[in-house]
Amino acid sequence: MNMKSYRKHYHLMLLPGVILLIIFHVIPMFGIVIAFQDFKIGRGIWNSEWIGLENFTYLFEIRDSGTIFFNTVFIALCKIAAHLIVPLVFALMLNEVRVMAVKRWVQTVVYLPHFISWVILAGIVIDMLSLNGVINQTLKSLGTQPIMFLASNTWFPAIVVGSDIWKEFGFAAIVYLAALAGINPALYEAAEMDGARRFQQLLYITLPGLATTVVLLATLSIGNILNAGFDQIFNLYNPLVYDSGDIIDTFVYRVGLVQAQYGLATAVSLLKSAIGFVLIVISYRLAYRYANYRIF
Amino acid sequence: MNKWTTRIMAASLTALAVLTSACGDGNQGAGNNGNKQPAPVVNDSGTKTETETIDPFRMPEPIEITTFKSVSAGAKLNAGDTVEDNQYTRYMKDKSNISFKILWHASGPDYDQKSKLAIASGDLPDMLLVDEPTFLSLAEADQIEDLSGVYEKYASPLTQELYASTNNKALDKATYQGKLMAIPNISVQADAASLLWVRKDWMDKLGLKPPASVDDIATIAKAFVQGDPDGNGKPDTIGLTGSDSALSAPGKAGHHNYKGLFMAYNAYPSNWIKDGSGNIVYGSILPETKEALGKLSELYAAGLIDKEFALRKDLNQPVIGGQAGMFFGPWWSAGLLADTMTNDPKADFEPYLIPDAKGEYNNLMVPVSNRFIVVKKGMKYPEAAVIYANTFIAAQRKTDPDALKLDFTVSSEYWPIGNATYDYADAVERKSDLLSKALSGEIKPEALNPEMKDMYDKAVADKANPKADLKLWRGYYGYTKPAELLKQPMNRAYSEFTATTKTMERKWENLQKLEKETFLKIIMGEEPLDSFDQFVTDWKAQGGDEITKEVQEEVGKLQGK
Repeated sequence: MNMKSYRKHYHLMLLPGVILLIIFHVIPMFGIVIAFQDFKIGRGIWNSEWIGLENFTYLFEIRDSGTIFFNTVFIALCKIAAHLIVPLVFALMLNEVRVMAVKRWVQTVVYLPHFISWVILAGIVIDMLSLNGVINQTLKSLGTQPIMFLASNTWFPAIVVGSDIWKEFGFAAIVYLAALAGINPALYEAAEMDGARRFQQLLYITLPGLATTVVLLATLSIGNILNAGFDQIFNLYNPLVYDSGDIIDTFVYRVGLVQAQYGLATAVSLLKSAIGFVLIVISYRLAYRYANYRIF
Repeated sequence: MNKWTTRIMAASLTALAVLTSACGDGNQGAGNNGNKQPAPVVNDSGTKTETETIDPFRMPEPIEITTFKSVSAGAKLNAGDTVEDNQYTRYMKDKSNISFKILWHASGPDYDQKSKLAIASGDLPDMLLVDEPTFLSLAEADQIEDLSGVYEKYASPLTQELYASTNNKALDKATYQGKLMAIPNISVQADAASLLWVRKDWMDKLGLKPPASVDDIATIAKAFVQGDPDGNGKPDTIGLTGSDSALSAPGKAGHHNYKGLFMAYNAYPSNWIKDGSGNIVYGSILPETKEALGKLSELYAAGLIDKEFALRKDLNQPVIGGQAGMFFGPWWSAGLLADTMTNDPKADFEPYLIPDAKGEYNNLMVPVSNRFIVVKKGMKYPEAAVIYANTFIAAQRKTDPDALKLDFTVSSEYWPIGNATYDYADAVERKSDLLSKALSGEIKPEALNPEMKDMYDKAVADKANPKADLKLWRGYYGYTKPAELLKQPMNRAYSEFTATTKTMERKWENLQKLEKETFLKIIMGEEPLDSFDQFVTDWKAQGGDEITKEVQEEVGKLQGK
């Protein structure tokens, strides 16, 4: 067996992925043209009228565009920050637990929500936050007025970020735990010999050891900045919190699928994809420079 | 790592949903061209059948027809039955030789979304039930079959009689450029009225008088909220229910919407109506609507409306759970009441109509047709649509004796082609008259038609043993007290325009959102009532004026014709 036949196998293994990519990602690209059309049900791409950039200009005329863009970026930024910090702190704390059984148990319990869909989790969140839910019952017993969390523009972004963290932090911590396991134990032993206490070990060995992973995850998430989480927000929001909760994806859903304005929805999506593409390129460059991460 | 890959996937899937629709459409364009030929073939088969005798209720050969189906999540089905195979589909197959292949089914918004995508990508099934804007765009795009010929040939006498009862307005609605392009339904006008249903056992307990004005609603709601009518010692009762779609007054009265209250203010939000001088105007921006909203926000602020109405996923829950004392609903609310009584046999509801300040009753009527059976262009058996309608109508009106064997508590959503009424426009009043005459002995029960005889039997059986079997009770109750209420003289208003204009396609969603948000915020006290004026200004500036002009032109055109 020589090198060449090995390569052939590798290329064959690539085939299913490439076929899927072509069918579901490359061919549908053609549909982008309807962003420049007055697309009509039934007339189809061939017969719909061309209207140039009208969909895009209209997009900027809509009163909501600013709000939607702001909400998307704001919620995504909060989520990115929280997703970097919470799992990191959690992983560090878990790392200090010395009883293996407890550690395993905690880890399993916190990453379970990751596998539950937002349709179900949102139901749970809504129940907990309702006027008769657990949280308001607690507030009431403390003598405070109950709060309608899901109808409040002040609370809504916090709930979105908070519940997303609740769902994902356990799972995200796995990456950090793996990185922690990769730190050479000899360093800790040496530090102990030199008289470093637990906290000093954390500060001078653990954190620098994790730095690359943090930088890598942070830069990679930049490309994701326009994804604030469709399924989550769609299942949690209502018209009262459009001001603080409506994001690009939910807007596209309402305009494109509910209202059947496919042209406009495609224009929005295309714009989002274009910005996302630029951001991904930038973050990839950054990841390469600071964390030496590269795909090829 | 996993986090961002899933997110990217989610994002691309969303984009994909939009893009695939476009892509499929490309194929459609090609397919359409190829399909231009078969049209004469249909005519051929048409001339062939002319020599045979025509049976309006049966296809000569068994055929299979594809369709999509909307089935609401809670719709009840008998054990062992499925959406594809149930008593209605079996009945249809036995009677008419038509079996249906249901390509997929979904509920509510999921159905709307999925069917719109399928239609947009040219993926029409053989036969489909659609709403008016979809029907018009399909007709305009020349995607559906001309049914004029097959209607002429196959419509059964009863079918024709029902359409005639609308002065053929229903058929006019389904006519596009002089051709009958769909089989329209016939809405029962009684469905328009929104009644206030009040827990009578609670009123009695608290010694309250029945409501005769909007202010009485407030009084009763206050007593319900504060008087602990359910006697559990906890302040957990709700005065009036609501829903976030409650802030418009569409043609049909739905459970928990405020149509009944808007009517009491002569307000017609989200409808195109004629103002005093005969111009078409949009009801949501009129002062009457502001007044009604003001009242609603007052009720809400006083804690008399369900605080969480805009957040609830299951709106019936407060009623069924015995927490709510009042809700607005149609004459056919007996199903919801029966569910409540199953939980709490003491629950007793009474319907009321709420008059306006002058003591008159207003009612926004239902468009004569709002659902259309369309047949895909080039389908081999367009007559199947008429035969289906004939058979469906015969079963629903129970003129076919075999139909009496069907269990009509099974939701009519399980008929193979969707859920639409085909009945006399004044069917509820007619039947209620017949029922009361039969019960009082004025008409002999034997003289009743099978549908009425069935209802009469249920009423007699229930009266012998009241509410012991709620199935019997809900089968006739709507035709007694609620129907009587509808016979009072009412000022009838009509939606003058129910289709879409060019600017609407583009700007309507945005305006609807503006309207819904503003109304909700006003009611829930987040914005003062006077922000309504700002809403009117914004609405007009953001395309409302333009659309109003277009609607006036369109309506003018229709009247000119």
